[in-house]
Amino acid sequence: MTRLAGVALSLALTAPEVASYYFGMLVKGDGWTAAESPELAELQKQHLAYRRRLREMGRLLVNGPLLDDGRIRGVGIYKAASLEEARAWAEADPAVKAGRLKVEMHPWTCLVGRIEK
Amino acid sequence: MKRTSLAVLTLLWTAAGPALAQQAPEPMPEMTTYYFGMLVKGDKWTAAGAESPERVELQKQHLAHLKKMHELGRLLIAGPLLDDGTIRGLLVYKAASLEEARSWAEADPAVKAGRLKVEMHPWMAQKGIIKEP
Repeated sequence: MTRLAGVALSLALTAPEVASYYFGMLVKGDGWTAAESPELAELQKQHLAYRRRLREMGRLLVNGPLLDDGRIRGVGIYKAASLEEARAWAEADPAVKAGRLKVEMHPWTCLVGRIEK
Repeated sequence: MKRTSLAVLTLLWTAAGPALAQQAPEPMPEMTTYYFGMLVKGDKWTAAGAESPERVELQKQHLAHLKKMHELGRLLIAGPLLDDGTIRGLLVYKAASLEEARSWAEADPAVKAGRLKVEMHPWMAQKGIIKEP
């Protein structure tokens, strides 16, 4: 770990007002396709319902799609006990299980500003 | 016959409406557009020299820039990733355009020095969770 990351980490651990979160990206998976179909529409419906449930459970604080049609499809901030837990929640998404999307999860700390449900 | 089934459908629709509304635990959240930025390693990135006075000074200027942008109400949240990869930090800006958000993020001394690089995307998210300064 670099010294700066170390400083950030110790800040996160010592300052009670600095909470630790997980930053999750949903990127194009191996099964990604731009084509439209009734199956995809149904999968998208399930995906949105699942993400909504994560939010209502307080596991996902804020999330939504990127609007520029690139590799990264959406991003969100999770509140979990560990990286593995946050990743497991994100990977239980029907669109991830179907291979349409892939999860990239990173530990993150909010140093400027505030985020809370 | 047609009229009857239409009437039944209408009845079903109006009956189902309130029942569905009761089942929904929360109303659909209001969405808004933010600009989501990632600070990634720039061309001049180096892990070496972390303790050098120049690096310490640049980091100080970097943090001061973020604080100023926050105080101006432009930068809503910012913070570092803790896993030492390509992506160093996240920024959420409230701006009138992608170009505006990008220019604010690129005014960061660490970006100008080439240590960090900005990747900015328009982002739709729930309103009010990320607090406005």
